[in-house]
Amino acid sequence: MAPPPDEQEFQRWLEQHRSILFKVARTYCRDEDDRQDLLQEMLVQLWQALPRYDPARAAASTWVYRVALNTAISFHRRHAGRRAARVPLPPELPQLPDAEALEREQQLRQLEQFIEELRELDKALMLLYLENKSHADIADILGISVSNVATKVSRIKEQLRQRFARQTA
Amino acid sequence: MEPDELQYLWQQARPFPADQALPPRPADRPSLTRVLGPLRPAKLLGVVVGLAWVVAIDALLYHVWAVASPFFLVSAVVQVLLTKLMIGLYLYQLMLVQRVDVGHSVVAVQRRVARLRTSSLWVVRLGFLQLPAWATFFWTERLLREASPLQLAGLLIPALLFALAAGWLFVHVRYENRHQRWFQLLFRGPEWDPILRAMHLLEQTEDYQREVPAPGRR
Repeated sequence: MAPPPDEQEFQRWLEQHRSILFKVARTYCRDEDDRQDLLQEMLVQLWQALPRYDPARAAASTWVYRVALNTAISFHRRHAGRRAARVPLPPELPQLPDAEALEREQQLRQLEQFIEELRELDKALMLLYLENKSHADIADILGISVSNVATKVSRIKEQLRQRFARQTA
Repeated sequence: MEPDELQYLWQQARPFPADQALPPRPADRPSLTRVLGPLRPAKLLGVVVGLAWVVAIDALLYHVWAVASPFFLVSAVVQVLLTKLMIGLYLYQLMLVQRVDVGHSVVAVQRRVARLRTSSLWVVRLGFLQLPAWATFFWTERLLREASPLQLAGLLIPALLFALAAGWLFVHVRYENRHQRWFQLLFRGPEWDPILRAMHLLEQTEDYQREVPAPGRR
């Protein structure tokens, strides 16, 4: 069994990659309490998995994405019942200075609603696409071929196009 | 709005919160707590009650071994062995799920976890194999010797039906039959949700691993 990582080394890792954790947590949890629980679980998984990380096999950010996404998908599946039991609150739009900003915020909320309705693996793909990851990176994180990534991305872009066309119609 | 515009909008309007701190990392838990931790209270209670049950039946068998009817002994031994196997298999699967390396690619990890979760169906299948034991444990040689033909039929027919049902369910309760109506009726309710969700995830991983040509390449 590999020894546990050094606490300082771990903190350095977190500092470099914590944006990935926040992004993944935000994609899978809209509720703030759930998001905090998920972030804690990601930290535990990263801490436990770090001694097994091999830089020769995957870039650090790829590996962090994998750990974060795997943890989020398992968390999402485990808490599906809890989420379903909640009554969704009506969306409250903050006071925004102008109509353009308001429209942008509405589009973002529609996008988040679209992501919320996606299946677990599609959520991961969508996040990686929105973060402008290359097809090669997405293939590496998800573990599918680059050509398959191209197919899935074009499929999900088509869904997005249809969804936003419907919303504006 | 075009997807690429949405991509730009997402990156601009949802930046990473630079000033937000991560929550503290919880302390490491001992390995047994790690395995049992994710169990819901009802399932944990199920494991505890199951363990108490096998201990009680083992104790009973030990004390009545010399005097009990062979039908009771065989039925109880079969029942208790299958229960031990079910509990052991369930805990072993939980342990394997906890040991999956989350640093591997997402589809591979989720496929492995979903496969392990759906293999809980093995526990259910073993449970069905216990059915005939419940129809025979109270038989005695005297009961069979002195029973009228009608009473005998009342004993044998349920045992036979239970045995047939157990065999059929043992063979047919499997992932491949998840879309059958009888399967969905049998596994309806919140207690089966984790297995059904794992099945949905397994379907997703199969979909992701299936190579489909891009729309322009057909």
